[in-house]
Amino acid sequence: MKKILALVLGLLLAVGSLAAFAGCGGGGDYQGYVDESGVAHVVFMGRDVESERVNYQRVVDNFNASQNQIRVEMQWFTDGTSYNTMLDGLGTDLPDCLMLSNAMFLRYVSSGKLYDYKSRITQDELALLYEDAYSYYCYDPATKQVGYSDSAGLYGLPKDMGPVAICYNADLLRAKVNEYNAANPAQPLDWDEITDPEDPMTFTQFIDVGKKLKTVLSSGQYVCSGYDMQSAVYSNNANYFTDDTASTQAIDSENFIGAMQFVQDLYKEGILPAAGTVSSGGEALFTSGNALFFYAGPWKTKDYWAAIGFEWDLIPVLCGDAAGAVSTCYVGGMAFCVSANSAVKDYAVEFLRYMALDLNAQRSLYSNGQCIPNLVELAGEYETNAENLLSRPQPAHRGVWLDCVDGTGEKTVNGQTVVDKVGGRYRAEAYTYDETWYTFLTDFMAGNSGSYGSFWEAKPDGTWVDVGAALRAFAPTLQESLTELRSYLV
Amino acid sequence: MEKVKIRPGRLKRKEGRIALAIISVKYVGEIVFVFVPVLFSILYSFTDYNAARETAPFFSRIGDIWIGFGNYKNLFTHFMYSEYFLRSVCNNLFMLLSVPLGIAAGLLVAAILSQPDIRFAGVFRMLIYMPVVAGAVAMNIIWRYMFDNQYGLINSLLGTQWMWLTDDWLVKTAIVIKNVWGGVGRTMILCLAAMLAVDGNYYEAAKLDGAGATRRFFAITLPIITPTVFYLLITGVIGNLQMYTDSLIFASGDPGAQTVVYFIWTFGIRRSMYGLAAAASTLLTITIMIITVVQFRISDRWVFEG
Repeated sequence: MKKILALVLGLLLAVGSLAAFAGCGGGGDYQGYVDESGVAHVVFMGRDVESERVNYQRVVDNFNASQNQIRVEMQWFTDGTSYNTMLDGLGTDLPDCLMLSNAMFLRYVSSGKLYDYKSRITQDELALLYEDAYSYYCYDPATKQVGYSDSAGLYGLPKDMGPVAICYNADLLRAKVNEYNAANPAQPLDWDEITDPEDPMTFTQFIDVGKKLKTVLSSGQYVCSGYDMQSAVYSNNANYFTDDTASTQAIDSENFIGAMQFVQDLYKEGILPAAGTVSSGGEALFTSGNALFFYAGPWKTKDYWAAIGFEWDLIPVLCGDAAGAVSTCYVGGMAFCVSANSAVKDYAVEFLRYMALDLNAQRSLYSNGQCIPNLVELAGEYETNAENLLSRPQPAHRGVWLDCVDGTGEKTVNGQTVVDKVGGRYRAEAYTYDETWYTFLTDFMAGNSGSYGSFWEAKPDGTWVDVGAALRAFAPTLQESLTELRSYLV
Repeated sequence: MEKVKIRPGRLKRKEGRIALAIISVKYVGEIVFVFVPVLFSILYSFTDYNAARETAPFFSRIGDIWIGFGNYKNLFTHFMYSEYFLRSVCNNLFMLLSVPLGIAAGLLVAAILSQPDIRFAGVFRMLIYMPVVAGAVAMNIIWRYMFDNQYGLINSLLGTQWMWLTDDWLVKTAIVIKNVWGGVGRTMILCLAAMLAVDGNYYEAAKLDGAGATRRFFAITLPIITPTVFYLLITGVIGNLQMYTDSLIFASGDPGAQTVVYFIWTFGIRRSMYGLAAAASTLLTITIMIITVVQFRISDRWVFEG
C-alpha cells in the first residue's frame, strides 16, 4: 500500500509540475496567425472602463467590416492592475497588438519586446499627429533614450494623450468673485484675468487671488481642492532630472525647490485643504461643489458630465515665477504597440494605423468624452464640437487640453501671429525604467519616509519643513535610485 | 513472537484505490496551486528575476540572475526597500492586536448569548454572525465610508475631525476596530458551540458550592473551551499576518496600514520585482510556521485536553 501511495503521490507531483510549467508558458491564446485562405487573425488587447470597451469594439468592428484581409479579435480588461500584471507575466509572448501606458513603455521597449514599425509609417502620416503624441513612443537603443530622432525607432502610436489643466466651478467662482468685489470695490478681482484660457496666472498671482477668495468662502468650501505636483515642477522651468535620459537627479535645483515651495505655500495659506483631510485627492470636494479649482484631464470629461450639476470650465496650469517658466502640464497617455514576437506584425500595424490615424476612428474615440483627438486636423471640430459628437458642451474651453500638446511659442492662427503660452511634458515616471523612485520621492515629501516629516503640514511646534534643505538632503538617495534604474536598461 | 503480515483482500485493495483516486483530486490541486508555486517562490527569492525585464525563460537565465541571499539582505538594508518592508512588519505586528481583542469580544458575546434566559438569542446570533458571510471587499468599502476623514459617520458621532484614514496610528487603530467587529461573529459561533457542549453537571456542582456566574465562567467554561480558543488564536494570527484587503481597500495603500502581503503585492505584482517579493513571501511563510510551532509547544500549558 505504501508503495502505491508513494507512486501515486510521485505521479501527482510530476503532473502538477508539468501543469504549472504549462501555465507559466501561456501566451498561445493571445497570438494571431494567417489562416489557409490568407486572412490574418490579429489579437488586440486593451484596458479601460466599460464604456471605452464598447467604443473600441465599435472601432474594431468598423475596421473588420472595412476590409477582408485582417480579422481583429479584441480582448479587454477593465482593471488596469490585472492587465499590467498579465502583460508582465506573458514575458515575450505578448498579444499581437496591445495598449501600453507610458510608465511601462521604457522597460518593454528596452528589453526588446516591442516591434519597431518606423518603416511602416510614413513621415506624412506622422505629420498628421501632434508631435507630442508619438515622440514619446520613439526609442533609441544606442542612447537608451526616449524621444523622436533620426536614429530612434517608432514603437507606438498614440491611443490618447492625457494633458492636465485646472478645472474650475464657474458658477461658484463667478458668485464668489462678485461677492468679493462688492465688498472690496477698490481692489476688485478680475474675472477675465483669472479665467483666461490662453494666459495662465502665475504662482504668485494665484496665491494672491486664493487669499482674497478665501475671505468670502463658506465653512467647508476651499479655493482649490488639489494641485498636480508635476505640473508645478514643469511650470517652474524645473524637472526631476537634468535630461531625458533620467540619469541625474535635479530635485536640488533652485527651480525645483521653488515649485515645491509653491505647493507648500498653498497648504500654508489654507488655499488647499489640510494635507490628508480630503477624500479622493480632493476630487469629491470639487464635484460636490465645495471647491473653486481642481485639476482634470480629458479622461474625466465623461464622469463630470454625469456627476457635475454646475457649469465648469478649464484654464491652463499655473505658470511658475522662475526665469523662463512656461505653463507646462504633465501629460499621461497610452500607446498602441505591436509585439516583437508576433507572427502577424505588419497586419497588426495596419490595424493600429487605422485606429490612430483614421478620421472616423478618431472621431468615434473622442466623442466618448474620455480623450482628445490625436490628429491635428480634428482639433478645430473638437474645440467647437462642429460635428456635434460631444453630447455635452462642457468644458467650453476644452481647447486648453489641445494647447498643452501642440507645443509653445509663436504660431500663426487664422493669419495672425500669436504666442502660445501653454505646453505639456510627459509625466516623469515615463522617463525611467519604473516608478519606484517617484513613489519614494513623494513618500519622502509626504513624511512617510525619512526624518524630515511632511512638507505639506505644520509640525507640532507650528514650523514647516525647510523644503530646500530637505530636498538637498534627499537628492543623493534619489540619485542612487535613478542610477540603479538606469542600470536595468539593457 | 513472529510478525504475521496480513494482505488486504481484493475488495479492500479496490476500495483503497478508489479512495486514492478521489482524494488525489485535492492533492493535484494542492500540488499545482500550492506546492509548486511555493517551490518557485523560494527559487525566485534567490534571483533578481523581473518579469517585465526578462525576455528569455526563467531557467535559461538562472545563472545570470542568481544573487543568493541578496534579496533577503535588501529587505533589511536596501536604501529604498528596507524602509517599506520594516514599516510593513511593524504595521502587521500592531494589527495583530485584533486577534486577542476579537477573541475576548467574541467570548463575551458568546457567554451572554449562552444564557438560557436571553430572549431572541437566535436573532442576535444571526445578526452578529452576518458580517462573517459578507464579502471582505464590501465590508472594507463600507467601513472606509464610516471612517472617512471628512464625511465619516464615526467622526460625526464622536464630534471629532480625526484623520482616521491618513494618520499612521489612527488608520491602524481603525483596522483593529474593524477587524474585531468583523471577527466577533465567527468567534461567537465557535465558542457558543463549545460552551453548549460543556456538561451541565459541572455547573450544577459549582452552583451547589456557591460559585457565581463569573466564577463559573472562569473556572469551568473558559478552561474547557480552551481548545476552541486555541484554534481561534492559531487561525487568527495566520489570517492577520496574511492581511491585504485592509491595506489596499480600506486604507487605500496608506503607509500606516501597509502590511507585509501588501508589500509583496506592490513589489511583486505592480513592479514585477519577483525576487524581492518572493524573499518577503518566504520570510513570511517561515515566520508563520515558527509562530504556529511555538503556539503549539506552549499550548500544553494552557489548553484543556479532556
